[in-house]
Amino acid sequence: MNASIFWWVFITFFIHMNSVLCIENFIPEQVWENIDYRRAIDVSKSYLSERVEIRAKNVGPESVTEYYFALPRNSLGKVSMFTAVIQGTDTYLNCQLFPNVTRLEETGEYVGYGVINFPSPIQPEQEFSFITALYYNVAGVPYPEYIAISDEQSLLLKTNRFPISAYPTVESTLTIGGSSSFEELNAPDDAYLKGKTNVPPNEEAIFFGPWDDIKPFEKEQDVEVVFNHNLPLNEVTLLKRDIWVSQWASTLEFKEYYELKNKGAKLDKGFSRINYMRDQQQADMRKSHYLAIIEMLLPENPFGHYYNDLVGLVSTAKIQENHYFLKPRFPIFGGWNYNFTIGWTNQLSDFLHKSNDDSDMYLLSVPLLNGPSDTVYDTVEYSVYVPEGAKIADIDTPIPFVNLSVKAEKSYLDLKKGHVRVKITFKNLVNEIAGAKILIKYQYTKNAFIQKPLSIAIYIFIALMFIFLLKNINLNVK
Amino acid sequence: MAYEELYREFNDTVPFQPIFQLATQPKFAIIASIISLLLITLSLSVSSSEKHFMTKLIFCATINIMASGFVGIAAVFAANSFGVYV
Repeated sequence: MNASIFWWVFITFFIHMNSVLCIENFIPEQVWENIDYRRAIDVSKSYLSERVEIRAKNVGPESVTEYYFALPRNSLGKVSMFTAVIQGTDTYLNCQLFPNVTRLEETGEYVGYGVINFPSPIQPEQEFSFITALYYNVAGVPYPEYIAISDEQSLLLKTNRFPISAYPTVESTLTIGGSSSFEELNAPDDAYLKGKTNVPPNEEAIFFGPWDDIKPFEKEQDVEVVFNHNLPLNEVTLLKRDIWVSQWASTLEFKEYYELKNKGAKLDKGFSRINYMRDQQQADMRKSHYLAIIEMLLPENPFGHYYNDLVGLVSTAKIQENHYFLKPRFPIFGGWNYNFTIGWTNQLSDFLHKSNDDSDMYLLSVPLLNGPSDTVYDTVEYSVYVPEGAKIADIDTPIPFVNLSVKAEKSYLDLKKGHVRVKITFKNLVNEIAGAKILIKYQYTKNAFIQKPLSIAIYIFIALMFIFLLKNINLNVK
Repeated sequence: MAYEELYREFNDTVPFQPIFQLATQPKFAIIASIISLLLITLSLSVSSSEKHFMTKLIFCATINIMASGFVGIAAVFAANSFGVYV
């Protein structure tokens, strides 16, 4: 009896675990051949962006509607955005990351996938051209790791040389651009595999290939490229963004807490105020690897700005239209962290619309980010507080999130359950998608609207009547 | 509802129009506060008078309802005027 119970529990657990874990020996059906695979990596920002132009042919016996785009598994967890468009058009294709992976027997590495779905089936022997675009929360690493204040920063990028694909590739190239200088480290002796610079039309990039007849998952020595990038590598390890809706004040109040880090090269001899001031005087608009000014791009017509950090209010800030320039108490060199809070207010009418069909229904559209440019975000906790008494009808985001919760939270003059807080957690965002809009639809009736002054009025009325009774009850003992 | 539908609905609807403009709320807060203070003073003076209890009760209850209403409104407008948006 005990043995049968054990096996029943074991089998149930095994089946359950298999449904939770990804399949590690997944191989996509071999129905595609990459006729042309052109991969371009842009290293100009604090994060990598990759654009792959693929012309693929259906070599299977039946029509196909999906293509498995391969990615190194360690990159899967760092993908911020994965999109695809039909070449020559603005038509976006339906894309999503796929949980199953392939284990390469030769190297022991794992390959993950993004699935691209086509709007109509691709017939046998038919070719189809599309472009995928990916943004990764990954950048080159400082090379060397330690530099002086006045030195220029270089980064090292390591990536696969050949295209990682589940399908055979007829011809492939790799281009890395976005810097004024590139140098390949540990280049292979074979000129067929080496990178070349000064190749038209993009003389500032480094070009690899063209390579012919690459087998599925064929691997060569990785590319190691050093390039000049004399800018800070801004990484927000945590952003807490709170947005408060007030229909009484007709305002949308923003409050953001940043934990910011510069991932760039560290100082070799520590910080010297004299060297820093000398570098500032000689800088003359030259770019630098440390962050002295943080420029926030806010929504149009903000007011009521403030900026403080863990010490207190910071007065070294300037507002120019919707640009908020912050000067931290100290420059942020490579490896240094800085925490700060900023806030501002906007008119609610710029973000909130009223439904045409139902006068109690409202639609809120709020931008995803308003932070500095050229920045990656590891974790974003995005909270929208709608007024007390509102009922959430719908929440929609254009990008995937990790967690979503709706609960009540009390604030000033909340005498009942409190504001309704919608909290969404995102991972691996880049400022490229800052303009994406979070949409929330909620119901806020006229009764709920007057509840706030009415609740206060009820308490005051009870207090006044209590005073009246105290004044008129005779407690004298005769 | 799909994101595209919600986005389209947002673009097809009209912007929110406030009932009370923020710039005018300090003025309304002051007016409501003065009125509520006057009403509370009247209520307290009536409750101290020598009239019949039931008369005083009805009169004071009526004045207190009005005073409470104005206090509620004044609290909301005053909070918004000081930048605490409720």
